[in-house]
Amino acid sequence: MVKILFLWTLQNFEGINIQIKLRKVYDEKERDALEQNILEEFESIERLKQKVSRNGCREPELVDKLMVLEYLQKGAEYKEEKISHSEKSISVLTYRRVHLMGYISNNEVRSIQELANGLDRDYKNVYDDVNILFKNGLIDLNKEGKRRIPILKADNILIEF
Amino acid sequence: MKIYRKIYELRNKERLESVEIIKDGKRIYYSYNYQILKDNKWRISVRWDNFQKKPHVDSFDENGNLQSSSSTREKSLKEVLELIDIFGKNIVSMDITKL
Repeated sequence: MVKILFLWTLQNFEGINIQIKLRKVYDEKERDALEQNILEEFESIERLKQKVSRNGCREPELVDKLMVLEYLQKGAEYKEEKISHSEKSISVLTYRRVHLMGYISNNEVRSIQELANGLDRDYKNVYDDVNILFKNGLIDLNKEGKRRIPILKADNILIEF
Repeated sequence: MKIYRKIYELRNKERLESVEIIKDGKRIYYSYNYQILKDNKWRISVRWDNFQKKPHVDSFDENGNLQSSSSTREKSLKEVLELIDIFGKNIVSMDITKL
């Protein structure tokens, strides 16, 4: 089961310190997929090592990829965290959008239409909300044929004052 | 062993991306990348890392070309965030030996 947590940190939001962090803990399947993505990009860890030794500091992203790959292969856990400092981020979390995320969390949703039906809301409004949540990194949209399946990237949203 | 990747959204079009690897409770690798959004792409402007156990800081021009590099002492994420908070975008034009 995918274990994902969301927390964001907002500071000085209209003079109030508000903390919201977004966190994602990769499960084994996701770690394998991440490892495969890096390997596919460079063919092998040896090729990546060669590139790093040739280019070193000039391509710093390669250094990070090499280190991540090495330790994924050693069985390291992988956690991602996104911390936002903008008012825009918190304004995304309207009641309807939080409700929508809660619905995805508690139901198997196979399309945006199915989500709209489940929420008993207008398809266009749900579609717009889904896209806003997607653009702000709160949900993923997996393509399956013509359908786009909303996948929650959070099972926990924490707002701290 | 744990790998932490963090993205701090800072001011408009600025962010800090970090990668830390923790083994037996100790940070064995870090990279802290101060990035600026240009042409819809995040580009590293200043980077602190300790690759091959050599802590150093690098600066890059707006096209991502390495401009200068300097050894430095090990930096914590907190220190780097404080530096960015204090100097903001001016950090890009600073003497990196001071960072």
